[in-house]
Amino acid sequence: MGKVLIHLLLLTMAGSFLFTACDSEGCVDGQVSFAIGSCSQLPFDSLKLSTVSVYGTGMWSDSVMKSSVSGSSALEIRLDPASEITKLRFDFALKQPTDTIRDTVTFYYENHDYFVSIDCGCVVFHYIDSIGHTNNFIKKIAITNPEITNEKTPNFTIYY
Amino acid sequence: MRRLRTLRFIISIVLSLSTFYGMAQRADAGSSPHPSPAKRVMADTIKAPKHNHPLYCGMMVGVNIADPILRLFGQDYGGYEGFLEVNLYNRFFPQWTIGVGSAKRTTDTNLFYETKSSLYNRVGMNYNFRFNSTSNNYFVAGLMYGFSSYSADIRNMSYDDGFWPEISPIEIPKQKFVTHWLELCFGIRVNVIGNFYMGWMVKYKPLLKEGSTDLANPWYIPGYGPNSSGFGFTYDLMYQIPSRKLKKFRKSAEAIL
Repeated sequence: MGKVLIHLLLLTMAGSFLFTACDSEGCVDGQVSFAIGSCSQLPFDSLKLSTVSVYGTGMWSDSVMKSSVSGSSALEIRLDPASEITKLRFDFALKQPTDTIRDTVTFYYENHDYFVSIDCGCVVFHYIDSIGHTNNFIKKIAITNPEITNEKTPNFTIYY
Repeated sequence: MRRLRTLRFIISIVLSLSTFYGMAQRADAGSSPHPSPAKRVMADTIKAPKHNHPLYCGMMVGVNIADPILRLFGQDYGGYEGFLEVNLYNRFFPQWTIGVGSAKRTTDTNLFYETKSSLYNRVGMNYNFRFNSTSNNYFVAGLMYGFSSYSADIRNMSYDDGFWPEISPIEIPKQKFVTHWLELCFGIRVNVIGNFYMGWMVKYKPLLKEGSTDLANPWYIPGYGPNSSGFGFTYDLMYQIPSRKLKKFRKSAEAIL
């Protein structure tokens, strides 16, 4: 009986350490919410897009949010979590003819805070109401999924 | 231990033989003193009864002491729980567990998460693999269903996306969750003294419904543990209230020895 009890106690200790160790796994979920966008050429347009750069506007006008991603890559846009309107400058660099065309895109949205986990903390999610834009290069913007979360699903498409 | 095992083996053989013998006697009643070889074969192949213990063998009450002990060593979540179990045929142990769980944690980033004391329940059944043994020790596996309704306050969070200025504090108070889960468990129980038992159970706990709200995932689930764990461990102290029939059964088993 004594041996059995010793085995029991050892197993208890081992088990306790095992399950306590399993408790903290670190932050494995995304900690930032992105609006994922892409650029798509309308059939009748002959411009060849090279890269897209995204800049903040207003007091953030000098800050580059996303610099020079390939025209075919996904754009990851961060919306201001303290506001419900974010205005961004998009610079479209063209291959043919070599030029840079500038547009301003305004996102109108609602925010809501979401507690992800004890390790990751909180993420601010957004729900897009509408997207406004100038028409220098952009022809239209379609909202494909208005919910912006920490899961990387496409949210909008820019047509040029 | 070897002697004990041999003794248990002998007991089970004696019990099996006595059962066979009793049944063979009944089968042979009223027939000639010298049964034909065919009848003898039939008597030998009669199956033993499904359960050699009485239907109601008593009740077991127990408490889990793992969480209270771990809390003494600084764990910031846990529960206090007790269970009631009925022993049927020394084989099936339907169980009801009731407990109260709570959690309070402040992280390195000053995030504060609190689940106030909330009730949880588990119902299910354990199965004793040593049901035919007259020993007081059990090797059990079981399936439980658990559920808990609780709320959590999450305060003092901040959000920094690396581009826009950090915003804080973000507070998400009074989030109400209802979580359902299953527990697949196995473990042992050892008779320590008299009717007192000690034992441990290791549990695999798949979530059936996490019960997240639009604003939060629960971190701690009363009765389940941290949301990310998926496994659990209990260390139980138990008291068995044996039935008269079980006592009688054990006495007769001892008498046979």
